[in-house]
Amino acid sequence: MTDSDNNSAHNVGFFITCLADLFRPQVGFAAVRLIEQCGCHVSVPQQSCCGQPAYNNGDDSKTRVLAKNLIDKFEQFDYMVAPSGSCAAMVKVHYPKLLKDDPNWSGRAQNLADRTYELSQFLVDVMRVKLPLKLKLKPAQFVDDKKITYHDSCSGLRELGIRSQPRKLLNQRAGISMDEMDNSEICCGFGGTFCVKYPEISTRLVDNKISGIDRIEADIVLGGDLGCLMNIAGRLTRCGKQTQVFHFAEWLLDEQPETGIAGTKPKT
Amino acid sequence: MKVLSQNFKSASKAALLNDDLRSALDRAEGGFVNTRKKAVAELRNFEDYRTYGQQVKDHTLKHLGYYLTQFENKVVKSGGHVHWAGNGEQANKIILDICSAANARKITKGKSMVSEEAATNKSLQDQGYEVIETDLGEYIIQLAGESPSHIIAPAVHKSKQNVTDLFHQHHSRLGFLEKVTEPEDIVNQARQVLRDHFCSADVGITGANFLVADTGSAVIVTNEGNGDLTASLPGVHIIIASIEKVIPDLVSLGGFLRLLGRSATGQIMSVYTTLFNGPKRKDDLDGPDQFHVVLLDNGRTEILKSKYQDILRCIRCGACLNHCPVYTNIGGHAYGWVYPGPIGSVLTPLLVGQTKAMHLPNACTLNGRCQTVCPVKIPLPSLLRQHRVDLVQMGAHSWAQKFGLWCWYSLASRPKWYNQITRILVAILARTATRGRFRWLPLARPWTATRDFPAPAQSTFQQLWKAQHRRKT
Amino acid sequence: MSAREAILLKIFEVTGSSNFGSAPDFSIKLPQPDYEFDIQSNKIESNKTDRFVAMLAQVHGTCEMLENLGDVPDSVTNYLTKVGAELRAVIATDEKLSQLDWRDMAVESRAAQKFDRTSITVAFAGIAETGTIAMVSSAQSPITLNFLPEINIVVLLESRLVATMEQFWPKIEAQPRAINFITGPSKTADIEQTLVYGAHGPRHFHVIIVKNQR
Repeated sequence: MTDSDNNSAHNVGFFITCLADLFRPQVGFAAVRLIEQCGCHVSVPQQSCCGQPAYNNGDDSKTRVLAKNLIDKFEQFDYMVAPSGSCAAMVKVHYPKLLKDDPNWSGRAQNLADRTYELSQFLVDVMRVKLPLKLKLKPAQFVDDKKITYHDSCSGLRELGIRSQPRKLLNQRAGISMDEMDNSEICCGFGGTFCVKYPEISTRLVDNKISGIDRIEADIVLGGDLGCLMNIAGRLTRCGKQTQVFHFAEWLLDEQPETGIAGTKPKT
Repeated sequence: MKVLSQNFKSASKAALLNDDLRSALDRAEGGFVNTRKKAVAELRNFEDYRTYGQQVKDHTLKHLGYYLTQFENKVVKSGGHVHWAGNGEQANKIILDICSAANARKITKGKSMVSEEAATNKSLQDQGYEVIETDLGEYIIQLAGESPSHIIAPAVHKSKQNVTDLFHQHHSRLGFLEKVTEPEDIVNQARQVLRDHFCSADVGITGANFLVADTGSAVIVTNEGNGDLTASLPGVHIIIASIEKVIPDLVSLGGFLRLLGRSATGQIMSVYTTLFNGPKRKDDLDGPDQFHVVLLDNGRTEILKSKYQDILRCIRCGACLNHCPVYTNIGGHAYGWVYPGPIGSVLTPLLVGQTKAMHLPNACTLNGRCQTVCPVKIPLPSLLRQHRVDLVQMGAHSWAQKFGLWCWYSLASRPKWYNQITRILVAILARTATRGRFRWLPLARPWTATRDFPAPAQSTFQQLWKAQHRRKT
Repeated sequence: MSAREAILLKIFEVTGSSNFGSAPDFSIKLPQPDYEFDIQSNKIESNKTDRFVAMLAQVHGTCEMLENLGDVPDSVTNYLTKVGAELRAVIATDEKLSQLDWRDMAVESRAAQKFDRTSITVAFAGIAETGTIAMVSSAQSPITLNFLPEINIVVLLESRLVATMEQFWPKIEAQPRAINFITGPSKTADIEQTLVYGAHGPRHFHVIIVKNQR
């Protein structure tokens, strides 16, 4: 057993986020195991969406309903953790602004915001402070000859300051060496509903991203936001490329994930 | 300038297909981003200056009435004239009156974005005046009959070849018969042609980067020196500037100059920074006899009242354009009015109408890169989103979009239903996908036209978690 | 209602007009610029000159150091010969220049004209931080000399060199008609981002730093 035996074990409410829930449940399980290895107790209350699509489209009243639902479910935990920078930022950065004029909710929104973290941020910034990080990572297999790169999703990067955390985690794994793209911090063109409202511009942006991936001839692209990753993966397969795309959490487990997002198999 | 922002979708699509534009934009983006980065790093407390810039602009806006009248008093004291214009039309009328009183015929112009707002050139030309833009970029697009596509590099979309052809077409009648193809020769030819205009103009019109209230100085920053020649050689110098350009004093000017050059072109200091304090003095050997400042509102006081007040801090450096993934791929013209990029997407709807320009704030991924480089820390993504909030409240969106959002919301606001229905959807999709993805899906064409759609797993995470949990307990 | 009244009225609707007329308390402190190169410390005077020369070189300006003002004409002659220009110049109507012995050159004291090739001026001050020359317009210092000629030679007394712009402002007693900060030769990058010097103003910007005003 780990430090969860301590009576100070943290209760973590895990916010799976819509895209991971529907498209990549293994991201959720990987994340839960990582959080548990830090000695936390993880719960998954019944949940839906944080409201980002409504918020980013300017529908604040709908967003408020969803925000209150979510606060209601998650404020009982010591922490709320999500495997997505944009969803975590929604709660951490935008909920307090959204509910600041509501006397019944502004305090609750801020309170939850203060205890909300993106996964890598939680593992590196929060847990390392309070517990030694015991990820017990085995050396990665079959990656020696693979080039791995990381895409920094905009919300996580600029709203939460996530840059070093996932890289630190991945570097703890022997065998994984990261190659950086020159455009790792430039938007991939997903942008939530942007990608379907302005598909031509969105496609150009994801093509630029893929050019960056190609310039360093990466075999594997990792990232922390499924929206971006589905966008990049979907364009890669459409262009007939074999580069695989994964959420970084999948690469921190003992078992190597095989099938990437959009069904890609490892290059043979 | 005519508003074409409503055509953003088709214009941006066309821009994406323009290969010349693409190479021009790639070149510019690389240059601007890297040089800025270097220049910013050189001043180790650049962040402190950003904070300073933000605070000083906010302070000035809070006391705008005081600073504007202080500026006015100082200009009048130094022998200049100050005119106030509520909108572009009024500004043009004032300028026409000055030109007519001076019996002017030829007018040289320094780069001024507010004069683009007011369409000053057109109003002057309609009255028979010859108007010559003197900033090389502005001159090029004037010859081409186009509008600027960048705040500080108006002809950034033009290739060398374009300019070669334009010069040949327009300059051969002036005796320049050979085509010039090298940048040095192109610049040299422009120098010769424009030199004649500088020396024969009756009126010079410039904008201003800053108006210093304490001294009544109009500050103009250029690299070419065209602003100074425009301001110093003709008998009349007219400055047109919008009211938010005012800053308190010379010390604060020093702060803004450290921000402006670095943010705009990656320069520690632009080549020419000039403070103009009125007309020629008694013993001066040169300088204009008349000095006029036209203070233009054109919607600023409305913005001051609104939730968008922060945008009035803008010092027009163009850094947000250079760092915007959308701008750097579609260029400035697709935005359909004077100001492109993030600043334009906030400003244009406020100045020409939110519904007319509703694409602009929506055509943004909210990636936030613009905000991190803004020298006065304007929260551009929040302001863009605020436009979206206003548009929803106005009911401006299409029925299809409203319906889509409603469907999603009906589900998302009921977690129980959401769980049940997504389970079914996921199961169906997982079964119908081939090799883990879709090449086509009903209603998903905007995505699937260029991208495969990743298939979901067999079951949702919540479904699996529940099952595991039930087994455990 | 005039446009002026209408605009101010709208502004006062937002900001309130109660304190209008009395100066607002403007106490936001300008940060001291922090460079690797220490120019703040006046103990190291030479640092200022070094920084000035280094910054000027960065922007394609050239520089020469002279002991005495009297050496300027020879230095100018050499410079003009080197760049292949005619030994003829318009000089500022400044005593410091007109008193010099220009025997090898044809000089005229006046404002600049359309085809003047070379101008020689006296800087009001130099700003080390940015490698900037500050020109202050007056009857002795016509502004056109800074912009019309192709070659602009500026004489800067080393004692007139200040570290930063903040140290420059107090040197101005009464606001002149114009203050020109000049940082290198005129340039443009409007043609495909290629840097070209001599857009409309001087192609060559040459500063002669003089230690003694003799």
